[in-house]
Amino acid sequence: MLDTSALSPDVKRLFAQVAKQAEQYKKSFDKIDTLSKQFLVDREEMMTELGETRENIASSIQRLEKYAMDTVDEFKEKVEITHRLYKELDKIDRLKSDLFDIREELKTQSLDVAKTITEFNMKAESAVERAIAQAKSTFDNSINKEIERIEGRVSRNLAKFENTQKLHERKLIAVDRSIKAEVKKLAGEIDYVYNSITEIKSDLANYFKSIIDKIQYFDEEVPRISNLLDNSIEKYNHKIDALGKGESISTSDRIVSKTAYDQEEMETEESPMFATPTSVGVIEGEMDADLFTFGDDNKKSKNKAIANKRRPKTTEEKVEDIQEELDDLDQKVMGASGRNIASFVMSMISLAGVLLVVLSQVLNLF
Amino acid sequence: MKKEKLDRILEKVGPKTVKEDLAEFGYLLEWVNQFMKERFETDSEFKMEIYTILYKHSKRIEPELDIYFLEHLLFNIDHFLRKTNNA
Repeated sequence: MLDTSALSPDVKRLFAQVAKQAEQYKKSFDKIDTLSKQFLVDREEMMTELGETRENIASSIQRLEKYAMDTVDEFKEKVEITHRLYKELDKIDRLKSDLFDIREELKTQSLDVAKTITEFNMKAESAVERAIAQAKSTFDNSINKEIERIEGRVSRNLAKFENTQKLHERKLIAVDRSIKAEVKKLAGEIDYVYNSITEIKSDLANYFKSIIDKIQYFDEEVPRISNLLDNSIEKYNHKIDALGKGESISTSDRIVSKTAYDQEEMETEESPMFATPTSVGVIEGEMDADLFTFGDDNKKSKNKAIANKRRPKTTEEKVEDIQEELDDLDQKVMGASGRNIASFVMSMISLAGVLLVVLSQVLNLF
Repeated sequence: MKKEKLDRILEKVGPKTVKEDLAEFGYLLEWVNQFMKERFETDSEFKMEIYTILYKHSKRIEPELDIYFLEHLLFNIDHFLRKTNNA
C-alpha cells in the first residue's frame, strides 16, 4: 500500500491493483520467456528435424518423380494403345455397319436369287423333260443300231474263234503226236540204257572172272619167279665173291651171265601177264570203245596203260587199277541213266508248257 | 554521489523547506498557482518536484496529484500495451 495521504484511497487501491497485476504480468512474462526459450530450443530441434525431413522428402520426391515419370511413360504407352484400340474400335464399328449393310443386301439378293432359282427350276424342268424325251428317242435309236452292230461283230468274232479253235486243235494234235514220238524215243533210249547196263554187268562178271584167273596165275607164277630171283642173286653173289678172291673174271663169263640174266628177263616179259590181250583184254578194249567215251578219262587210261607198259606193276597195284576202273564204270552208268531221266522230265515240262499256252489262247478268245 | 542518494540524505538530515511546510498545510498548490504558475506549466522538472513534495508531505487528499499519477499510470499502461501489442 502506498505510504502517503496525498492520494485518494481509490487511487491507492488502483495502484495496488496495478502493482499486483504487474507482478502477475511479470510472472506470466517470465513464464512466457521460459516458454519462448523452450520454444526456441524446440524450434531448433524442429528445424534440424525439418532439414532431415526435407532431405528425406527431397529424396522421396526424386523417387516419386522417377516413379511418376515411369508411370507417366507407362500411362502414355497405355494411352497410345487405347488410342489405337479406339481407332480399331472405330474401324470395327464401321466394318460392323458395313456388315449389316451387306447382310441386308444379301437378304435382298438372296430373295431375288430364290425367285430366279424357282423360275430357272421351272424352266429347267420343262427343258429337261423335253431333252429327256429327245435323248430317250435318240438313245433308243442308237442302242438299236449299236445292238445290231455288236451282234454282227459277235457273229464275226465267233466265226474267227471257230477258225482259231480249229487251228489250235490241229496244233494240239500235232503237238500230241510229237510228244508221243518223243515219249517213244525216250522209252527206246531208256531200254537202250537198261540193255547197256545189263551188258555192262555181264562184262563186269566176265572181267571179275578173268581177274580171278589172273590172280590164280600170279599165285602160281610168283613162287617160280622168286626161285629164279634167288638163283640169280646167288649167282651174282658167287661172282662178287670170285671178283673179291681171284680178281680176274673173263669177259666170256660176264657175257654168259648177262645173257642168262637177259633170257630170264625175257622169260618174265613173255609171261601171260604182259602178253597179248586175252579174252579179258578184248573186253577191256570193248569197254574202252563203248563206255570210256570221255576225252580226259580216255587220256588218263591211255597214260595209265603207257605207264603200265613202261614199268612192271605189282599185283596190288593192278587190283587197285581194276577197282578204279570198276568205280568209273559205275559212275558213268549212273550218269547216263540220270541224263536220260532228266531229258525225259524236261520234255514232259515242255509239253505241259505248250498245253498251257494253247489253253490260255483259247480262254482269251472267249 | 548521485543526486537521489543526496536527496535521501538531505531529506533525513536537512531542515524542512517552505514548500514542504506549505504542502503539510495544504497550500502549496495555491502558492505555486499564484506565484509560479508559468514555470509550473512549462518546467516539467519543477512540476515533478512539486508533486513529489505533495506526495511526501501533504496530509490531505490532493485531487491534482491523483490526476497526475493516474495520467502517468495511463501513459505507462498505454506504453506497455503498445509494446506488448507490437511484440
